Amino acid sequence: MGVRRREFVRGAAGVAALAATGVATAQEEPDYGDWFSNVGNYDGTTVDRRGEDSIEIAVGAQGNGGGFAFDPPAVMVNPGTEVVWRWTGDGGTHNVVSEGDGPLDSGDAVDEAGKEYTYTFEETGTFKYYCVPHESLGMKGAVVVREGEPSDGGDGGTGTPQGPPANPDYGDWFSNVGNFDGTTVDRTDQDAVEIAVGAQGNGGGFAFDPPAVRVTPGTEVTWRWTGDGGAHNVVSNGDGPLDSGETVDQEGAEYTYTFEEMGVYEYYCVPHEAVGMKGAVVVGGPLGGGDDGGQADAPDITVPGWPASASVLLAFLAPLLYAVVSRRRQQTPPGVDESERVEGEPAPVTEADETEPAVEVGHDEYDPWGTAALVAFYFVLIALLWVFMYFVEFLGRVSVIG
Amino acid sequence: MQVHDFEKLWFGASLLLIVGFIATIAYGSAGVGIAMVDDSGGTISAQAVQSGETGTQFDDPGVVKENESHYTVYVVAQQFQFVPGSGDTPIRVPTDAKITFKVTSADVMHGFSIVETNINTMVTPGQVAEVSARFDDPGTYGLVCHEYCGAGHHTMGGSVEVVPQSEYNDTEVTQ
Repeated sequence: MGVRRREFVRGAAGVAALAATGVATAQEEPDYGDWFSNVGNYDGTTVDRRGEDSIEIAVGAQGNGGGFAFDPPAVMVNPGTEVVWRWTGDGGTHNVVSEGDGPLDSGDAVDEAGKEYTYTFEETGTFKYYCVPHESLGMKGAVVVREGEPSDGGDGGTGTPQGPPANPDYGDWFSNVGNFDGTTVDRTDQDAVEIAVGAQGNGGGFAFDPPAVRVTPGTEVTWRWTGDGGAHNVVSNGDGPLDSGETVDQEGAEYTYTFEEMGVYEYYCVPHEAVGMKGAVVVGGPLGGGDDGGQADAPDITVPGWPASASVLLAFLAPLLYAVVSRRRQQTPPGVDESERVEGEPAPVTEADETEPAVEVGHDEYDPWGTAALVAFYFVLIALLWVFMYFVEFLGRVSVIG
Repeated sequence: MQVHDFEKLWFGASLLLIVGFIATIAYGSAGVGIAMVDDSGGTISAQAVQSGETGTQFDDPGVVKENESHYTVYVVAQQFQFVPGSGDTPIRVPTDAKITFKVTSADVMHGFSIVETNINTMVTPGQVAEVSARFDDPGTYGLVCHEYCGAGHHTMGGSVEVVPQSEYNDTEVTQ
């Protein structure tokens, strides 16, 4: 899940960068090894701030489950640039310390907002750093010092936009959509894609079919009304571009939109949103060049539930079954011959025989010495455990004396 | 009712064992001086600990020398470190002296447990946990937080270095 979310963020950031600054020219991305593997707010891009004399990095930015992030986590600067880490005051106490024997060390972790730590990088290289108390949470960063100018002349990211990931994270958008089975239908090979409005689903003609579809940028998507399920429309979630206007119930009605920008476009039918008439169009990608048709790339680890359920049921019923069988056996009374009974008279009551015990234990069988030996053995064992636990294990260690 | 002589013997031995257990605990308490963790540390404002404005030694945690044979260690536990104790700042104390640990939290509930010793207390925000001990042998002991305190709890640890009194360096210690 973490990986998927990160990929999604990376994709989204790529889209954002695309929208903000145009296509960023590809440049050599620094190799951080697995330094950023557990850093949730690192989206795979290094923010290029070359050409600036002084830059600022927030310490305690939101990320990694709280105020446990450096923002931006990865930044590229020219030699001679003054980098200022500024504390936000969130997420407890932080510090900035180089990995290994690097130059950065802001000293003890502090939590006051506005605290600054400044370092001027004179030499080129990759300088990794982290916050000592929160390293394990992913509070890590890197400063890359390189010559040169930002390739796009702006402040944009340098990620290569590839579109949303193979299995986009829709959040809970599809949580109440009955006809969404977790897959995004891949139509990236088509110039024109059609989606049925009012398809069967969600308890009537209240579905988009397919609910989630992936297309390439520039694809014309046509929504075609089936005429079922009453009047529908197609409206973007939030302030997206889709809006088919008033609701229509006429079969064959069409609404067309051509998607040019990459991203995930969620939409719904206003009157039937509550019953789950929702959909999404994923434009671009998938990230990583996969052509798996948007199928979930996580392995299917579900196992059938019935063997476990059946075992538990059997375990519960076993005593009952045993009781029933035992009762059956007892109900077959021995010894009474039905043919000897006179019609109309009650069956004679026979008393159970007084059975003699098979073996009688008398005092003669009691072996005082054997029992005494056993009891003595137990006493010795307890005494040994007592001495060992209290005097060796407990008092033998450094103890609390006040 | 007939009771065998041996059985009478066992009754007596059982009672003796119980008396022995109680006597052991009495010896541990009175003879060795084993104490329970109590509320003797008093209370403190966790906010003040966080901002370093308690007006106590918790504003500058570390080892304080009370006298030749008594040192007090002030430790602030916070997500996810002991100050001092974690990272490059182990707690350094001498042998053969009474060491009093005063531990408090700057944020949430923590634990303070020195591994392989009986020093083990909860660290509650607003409270000062106070435990004393005497280390006879030099060595390095692990220090762990054993109360779940958040996402990084599993990494919250440190160490206590016990050095021979003759080698103990007082220069880093508040006198």
